[in-house]
Amino acid sequence: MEASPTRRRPRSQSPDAEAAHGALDYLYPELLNEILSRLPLRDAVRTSALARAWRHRWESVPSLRFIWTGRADPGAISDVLRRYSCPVREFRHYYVTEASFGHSDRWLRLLALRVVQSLFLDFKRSDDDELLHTLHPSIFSCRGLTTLYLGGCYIPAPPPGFTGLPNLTELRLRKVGFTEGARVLELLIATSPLLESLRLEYLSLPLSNGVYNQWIIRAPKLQSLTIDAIFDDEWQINDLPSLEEADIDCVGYSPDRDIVKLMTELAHATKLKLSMPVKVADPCAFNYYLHTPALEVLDFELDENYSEDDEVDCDFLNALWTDDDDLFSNLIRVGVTYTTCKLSEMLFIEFLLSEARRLQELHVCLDSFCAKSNEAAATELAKYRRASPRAKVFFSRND
Amino acid sequence: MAAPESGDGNNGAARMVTLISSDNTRFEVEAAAASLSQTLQLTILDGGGGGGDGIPLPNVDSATLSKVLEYCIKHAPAAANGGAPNATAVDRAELERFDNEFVNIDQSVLYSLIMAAHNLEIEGLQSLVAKKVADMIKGKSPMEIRRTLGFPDPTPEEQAEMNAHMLEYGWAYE
Repeated sequence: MEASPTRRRPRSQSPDAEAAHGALDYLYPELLNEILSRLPLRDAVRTSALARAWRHRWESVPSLRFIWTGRADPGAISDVLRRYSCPVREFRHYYVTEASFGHSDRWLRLLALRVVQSLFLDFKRSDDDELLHTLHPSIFSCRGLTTLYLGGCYIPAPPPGFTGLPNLTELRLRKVGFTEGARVLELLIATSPLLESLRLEYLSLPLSNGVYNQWIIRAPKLQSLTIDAIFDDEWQINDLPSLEEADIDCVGYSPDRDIVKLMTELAHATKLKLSMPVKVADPCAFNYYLHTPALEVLDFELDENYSEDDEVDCDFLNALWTDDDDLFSNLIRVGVTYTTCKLSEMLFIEFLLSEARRLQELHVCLDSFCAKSNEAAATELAKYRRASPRAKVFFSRND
Repeated sequence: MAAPESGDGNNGAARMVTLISSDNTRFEVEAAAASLSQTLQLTILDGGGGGGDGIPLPNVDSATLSKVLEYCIKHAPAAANGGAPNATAVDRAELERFDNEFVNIDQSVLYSLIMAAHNLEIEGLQSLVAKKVADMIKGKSPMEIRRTLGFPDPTPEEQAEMNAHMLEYGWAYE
């Protein structure tokens, strides 16, 4: 169907008036806003140079996204935030340098006023990765936040009367410290009742008398938990009934901790990735994933230093062999990375293959220190009986 | 320029409705296509628009309406599929190709279209045109935007204001 271009204007206007402005001026304001809200901020701001009628138009265009890089003039950012009159849907600054630290306090005050929904702030650290900046407490007044990412800064104590971030669903903290200790982190998590996704990466928590204080992650709606840490800073999990996925990478996880408790707290997850000193065949941990029917994806990164008790673990596994429970019933994918083909690890794999009826993929990655050759390991794996006809074994080596 | 008519009115054939533009042109179109308009949907569900009645659309002219219906006819099958979650990649690519082509038109038509889409509440069409107009503005200097949007050449006074603004918001022009 061909359409002939029409010369008709959306609203009847005198020809003079049309000559004075662009036709765009005659659209309903909400349509103009819909058009302008699709522009990057700088393009939207440029429209204020078009004509006098356009001077302040961008200031009331909803849903503009504020996205800045390290080169952005910090004063200009404050200025734009001051002029903009709508709620801020998204504010991102990928690299706040030292020259902007002071300005960032002003941004946060304005962002709290503009009910910012999604906030991403990454601060420059010192050359040796030390944190330099302490965030302005206005962050605790940003009650409209649904998504928050903070990187490279200290988070201060919340002001008295802080009651939480009622709409926060996603929280990611990377290389963040807490001047007042982990209790602030604990409070921040516990007072965000809608939190669904939590990522904590390389936090720096203060030691008291040389040890970390225990702190607890309590989040009834949490679906996804990621912890990346080098040291075990004594996090605890307490009651995560909605958990679907957990990815815990903590090489310094203390072997003295109660692994059964941790596993029990993670029991709701269907996807679990553990890169910590937990043995595949740890009798206590094993009991957990044997009896977690929901588990579909299980990934281990093993710690080669953790080799004592191999015989005990083998005895434990051998004793299980006669058990005719319905084990590993939902497992679809299992990964065992950095194995050195210890007897207990191979027994675990054999046991797993012989039990997991729905298994589709088993990924085995040999550690570079593994004495066994690839061929020998692969031959051994091929001999194991597979309960699942669809199970495929993928084999690699970390060299 | 009416929408294609199906020969047989009954017997399992798609139900047709008639829309009447502001300049009194009658368009017969499948009810499913016209129902992309939230505004028309209720009337059509109530059985309106059939037979000799027709639904008058006093603020949409025939040129615009024919264009609007071209969009609706193309998008009706996917919309009937509830946003077409099962649509194949080929179907989606074809719709995308159609959309790109569709908005490759004179600006004044774009503005008439977005107004009609707004009045008739056809969300997909409204955002398609909004995106197109935004793309026309993106990355341009104020002078280029003025030309693109058909503003007359600026008076010296306006030019001076424009320059002052560009100085004030230097970061937006880097």
